[in-house]
Amino acid sequence: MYSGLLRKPFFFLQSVFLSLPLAVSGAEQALPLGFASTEEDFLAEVPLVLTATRLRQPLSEAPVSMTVIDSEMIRASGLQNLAELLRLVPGFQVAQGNGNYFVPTYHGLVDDWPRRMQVQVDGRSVYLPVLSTVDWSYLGITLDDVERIEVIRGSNTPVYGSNAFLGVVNIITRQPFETRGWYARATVGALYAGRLRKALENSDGRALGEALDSREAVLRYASDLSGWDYRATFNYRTDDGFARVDDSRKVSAASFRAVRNLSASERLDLELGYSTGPAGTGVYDGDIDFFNKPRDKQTTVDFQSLQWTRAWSANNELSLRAYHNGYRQYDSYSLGRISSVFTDLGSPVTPSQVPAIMQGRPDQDFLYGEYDARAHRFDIELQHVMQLLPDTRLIWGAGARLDRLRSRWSLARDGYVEDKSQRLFFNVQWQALDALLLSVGTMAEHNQIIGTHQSPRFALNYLLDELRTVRFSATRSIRSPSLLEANVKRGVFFEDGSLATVLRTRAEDLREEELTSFELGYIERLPRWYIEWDAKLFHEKITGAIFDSTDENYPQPRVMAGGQPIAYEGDSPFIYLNGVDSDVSGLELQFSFRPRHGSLLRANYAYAESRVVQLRKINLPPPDTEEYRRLDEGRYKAVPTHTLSLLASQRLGKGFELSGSFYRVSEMKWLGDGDTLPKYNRLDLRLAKNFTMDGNESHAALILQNLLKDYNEFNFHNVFGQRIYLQVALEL
Amino acid sequence: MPCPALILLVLLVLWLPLPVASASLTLDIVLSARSAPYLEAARALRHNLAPELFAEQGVKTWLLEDWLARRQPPAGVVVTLGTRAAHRLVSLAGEYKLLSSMITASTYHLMAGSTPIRRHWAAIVLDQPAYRYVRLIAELLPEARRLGLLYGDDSRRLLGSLDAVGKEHRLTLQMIHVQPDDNVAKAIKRLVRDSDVILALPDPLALSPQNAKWLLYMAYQRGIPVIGYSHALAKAGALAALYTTPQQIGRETAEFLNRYGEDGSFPAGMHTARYFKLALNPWVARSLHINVPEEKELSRRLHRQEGRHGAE
Repeated sequence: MYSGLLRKPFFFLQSVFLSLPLAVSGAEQALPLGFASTEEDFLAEVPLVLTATRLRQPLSEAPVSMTVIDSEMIRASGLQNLAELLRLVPGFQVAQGNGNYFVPTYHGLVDDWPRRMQVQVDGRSVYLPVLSTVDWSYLGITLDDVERIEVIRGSNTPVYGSNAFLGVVNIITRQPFETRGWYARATVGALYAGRLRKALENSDGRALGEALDSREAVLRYASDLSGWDYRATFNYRTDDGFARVDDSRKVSAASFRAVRNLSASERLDLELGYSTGPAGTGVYDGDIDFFNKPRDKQTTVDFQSLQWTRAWSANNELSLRAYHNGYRQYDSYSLGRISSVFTDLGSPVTPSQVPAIMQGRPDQDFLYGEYDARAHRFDIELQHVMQLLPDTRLIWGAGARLDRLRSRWSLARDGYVEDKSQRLFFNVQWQALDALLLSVGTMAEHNQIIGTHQSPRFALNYLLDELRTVRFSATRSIRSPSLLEANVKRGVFFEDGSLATVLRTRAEDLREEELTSFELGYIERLPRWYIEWDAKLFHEKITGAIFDSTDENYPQPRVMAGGQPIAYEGDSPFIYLNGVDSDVSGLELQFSFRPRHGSLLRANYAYAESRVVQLRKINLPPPDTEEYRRLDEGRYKAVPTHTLSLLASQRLGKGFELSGSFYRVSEMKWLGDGDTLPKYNRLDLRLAKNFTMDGNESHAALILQNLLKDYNEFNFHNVFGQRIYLQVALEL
Repeated sequence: MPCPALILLVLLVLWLPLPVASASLTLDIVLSARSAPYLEAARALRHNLAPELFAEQGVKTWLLEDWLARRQPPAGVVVTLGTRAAHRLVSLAGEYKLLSSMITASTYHLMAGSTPIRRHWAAIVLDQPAYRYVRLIAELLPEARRLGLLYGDDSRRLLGSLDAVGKEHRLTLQMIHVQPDDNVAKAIKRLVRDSDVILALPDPLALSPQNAKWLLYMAYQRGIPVIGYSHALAKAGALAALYTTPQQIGRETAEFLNRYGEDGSFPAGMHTARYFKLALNPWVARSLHINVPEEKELSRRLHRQEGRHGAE
């Protein structure tokens, strides 16, 4: 008899029974019901999928302006490099510094090292404090694994910290379960289609092989094991880069991601990656930079990331993430014997004269290593998204980070320099009225370089009606000097490791950069027409941006020969100082037309007016002690006035798909090793044939880049010709 | 002179429909397992039984194993809650009336097809009828035209009625059949590409709770709303879900038994639950730019369409 059954305590029924796991497991084992659903299917828990961090906030509610590039756009664009995709974001300019490194920037004003933008892959920052930038060629992920890229246009330090000074790029990779099975892609390309044409005309096999100077292979496998959904991707890429520039690359990469639901509300996300290979660097034929000879540097990047997430509901989620990024670059070499160096520089010195000019040192090699370094970043962050009150949403979090950098060549010292930093942030969104959303947020950061600083933001979104919103926001941001900027002392070394001359250092009073920005935005959706568009008027004022200047009176060890100082490039070293002030105002437009059935149109335009002043030289002999130059006049247009990008794609039936993109950037001065480049137009086309076999989607595509005139990227050495790629991707 | 009260009582007894048996029917409630949902359903069942028909002492709740081990022959009516008990009892001989409640339509059909049909056997299932889903979709997404479905052999049964009701609302079915060795993730990918809205149907092959998360994620990435069959699905990321709670199916079962107690009717065959609940996920709706009414208001509308009031 079991009539007493119901008199058992029911405390566990007081709660919603659905939150309890069912205890009928094993019940069906003896029954021939394996392929039938049971009450368990109706009552079982389902892992919480769309939680606060996965749910995209509608643009009308976001306190910042945003652009999303999804996998469909990535494919349609035909672009071959992750960084290049930022061309599809209003206000972004992208150049290849050479064939193997990329210089994307928001609102221009950039040298070889774009350092004001935060880039994250699945929430892990890939900003390299060792270079004060992102090395896009060694991210360890392939375009094939990217689900979408969310770009925040403008400052977002209140959420992402100091590196998010001007823009945040969030690269989100596909969930492992989305890509089950095998996938392989091979791409072969000619970076100069003319050479390919010639080789084909002459039926010259060897020339053909040389003309096909870009090759990439991707192999991926995704499955599940013991409750983990996982994906492993291997990628090999070789590319000759620009003609006449030593900028080839040969990068091998492997990445692994595994996700496991520990329970319906908890999940673990593990990511590992490794990429390595040589990349050409140094300067160009006919213009050899003595300290920057053509050579290969060897880079190795590794990362490990583990995230635990617990979600109680779609709007209450706690996550803890820890990661490590490792970076190793080998790039040390001899400039030659001291005597021959001076002779080459036009001040003939015999080996026996060397002790006289080098404080008694015998003739020996000058050693140099511009990029040689080892760096680590360890980071841990806790973030909690919650509905504080029915009309108030709170995101708060705290994190700690350790950056370590070791480089004899760049720091002129042994051992690691470190920066320990801590951060605390919160953002509150309060629905003050049905039509009014107020956002207030700030991040307080403390590091060993500049101490404690704060980046607050205020935003107001006013919904004119369901489809139209006006947004106003004001942000004040701080960017701390990076570990490299704060410690750099790069030079030429004697064989015993002591410094012969300084090529680059930093100002003693190097301080944080400051940004104040205001924006007024308008967002409209026309769902009936599948249109979404937004406009933003902005004003950004940066003071004390860190760039290169030269110190004309740096106390270098003087090199004297015959009573005369010998001039060589190290005389006036470059110095990082807060030397640039800028005011940029303008307008950005973003237009999207996306009917469901295979059409896509995106148009982006930015107009900017700027006033930029750069301090070029300091410690000049009197009467002028400093030399300024204005970067907004004539040939120094550091922020281009017009930036335009268009992307259109159409499915044609029978699996064919045609897409085209057009880019136009007006005249722009790229700082550092860059040049002032005239405006250019670029047109790309992609024709693809998609095959579906047994549910597997494969495609073959022909991609033509820059069908118009050749143009220059970053400087006059990099000539971007007509490029042609053939791509085959198979899903098995 | 007879007592007036006695006359009144006799009249009353004559006027009332004659109960099937004497004033107290005996009822065994047999649980598949001693876990929360079955206990919840059993409690609601007992609570809603008409006390004049089912006296407290005539109603006993058993765990399946205990019921099977007892020596006395079963009482007049036996109700099972859950698949396990249903399956075990349906094949036993006996003259008692058997009501298999809190099972699924697919279990019912499987059992009906594999055992000699008992004479007095009825079932109440948790599955929602097709028209209910379609009405919900029409309310939430009036512009949707392509209703995507992933179906296996188990959920195939609902397709005919879905197709028929869907047509009334200008919905055409986009169906993808999943077989045992298929890669479900790829099927989901195709489904998501060709649908305006997706109806998740329970099917161990096509959409187990484990792989429902794939469907929810991939559909969301493409901006396609999903309609689910359980509260958990709505919580996990479906736009909305229709479901019958154990408490509701307990009540439904009690009402079936009360009717039997009143007029002796015991309609054999499968019955879908009339009681249901609606769950909306407002965060998903907002993120997908879908204007949804208040959950209560929409629930009221759906119930009104079935000629009932309230969300109970």
